[in-house]
Amino acid sequence: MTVNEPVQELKLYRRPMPRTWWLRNRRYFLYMLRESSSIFVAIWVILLMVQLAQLGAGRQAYQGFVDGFLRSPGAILFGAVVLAFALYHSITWHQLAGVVQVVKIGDRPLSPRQVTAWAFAGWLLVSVVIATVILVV
Amino acid sequence: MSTETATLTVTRYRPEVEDQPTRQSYVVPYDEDMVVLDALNYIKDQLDGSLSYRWSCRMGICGSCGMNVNGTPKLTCATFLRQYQPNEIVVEPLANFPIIRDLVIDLSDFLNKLGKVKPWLIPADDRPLSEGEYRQTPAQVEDYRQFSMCINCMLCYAACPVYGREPEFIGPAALALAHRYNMDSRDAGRATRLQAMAGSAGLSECTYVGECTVVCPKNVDPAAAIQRSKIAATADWYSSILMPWAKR
Repeated sequence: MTVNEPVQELKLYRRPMPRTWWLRNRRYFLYMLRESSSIFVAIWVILLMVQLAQLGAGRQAYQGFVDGFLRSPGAILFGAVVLAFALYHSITWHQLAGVVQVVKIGDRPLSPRQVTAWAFAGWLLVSVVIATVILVV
Repeated sequence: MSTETATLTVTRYRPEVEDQPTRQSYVVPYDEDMVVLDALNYIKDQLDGSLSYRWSCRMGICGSCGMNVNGTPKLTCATFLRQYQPNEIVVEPLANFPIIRDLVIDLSDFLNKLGKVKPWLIPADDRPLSEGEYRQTPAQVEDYRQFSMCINCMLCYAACPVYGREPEFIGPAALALAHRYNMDSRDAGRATRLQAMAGSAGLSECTYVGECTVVCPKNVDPAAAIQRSKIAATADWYSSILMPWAKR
């Protein structure tokens, strides 16, 4: 006999889970938003690979891709949407990292807020270095 | 007691007479000190003795009176009517569990899973009692104390959409308890527990919705426990590949 096996046959009722469960509260909805952000980022990465392929195909092909596609209002709008999703994903990532990653100084753990603050500081630093490399060097 | 009243709409399921649950409304006298459990007890004592639900301590310790109140998993002994008054209060059995009768759910699935993660101390070697207790520093206790506060109330399972869609998922409370013992300096059972935790129904099922942590009445934070276990399990895997000679 396994744990808690019913003594008599029970007529249990199993409730189906609706497909719209994620509309039930705000936090479920934000979770779905956070998860779906990866789809938009993935599409953007595919476009980036196409862009690199065009660059490899020569100046004319690349210029055609930039003028014909990247500068179109649709592509710019898509870029803005991807940026918003990427920022949302990154910010929530660092917020959760503070709770998940235990960082101890000696015996004493840092608070989640402190870990998140350091993560944001690191992100800012790396962003500044990359921006400097791209824009100045 | 004032003349004000509160209306509770409660799930009824009487398997001997009906094939699926229905709802029944009751009007109870309202007082701002009343919790949902008080209202259910009033219904049971004064209005309808056939209503079935679980409760015991009515002080947030036993973990038996968990129900979905207006869609959110709550301990009904700690949920005041005044939060909802004058609106209708809908009381349902905890979501994601099969219903036995009215507000009573079937816990067998959880109890079987709980055993699989071996939530007890597995010391490295059995010491005779004469050698005394296993000592811990306050800092070592802090490593797991938060995760030891679980009262098995099942609110986290009712809040977890992963458990709702993938019932084989071991789930938040059991994984948090496994983490609690893994983090205990007196314990050496991590590798044994990993079999259940690292399987396809274990840690990897969790996508960090985080609602388990929101509804937990004891601030256990099962979501953090699961992610921390994921990191530990991943580190174990890499070290077993990179340093197969190292003792795990």
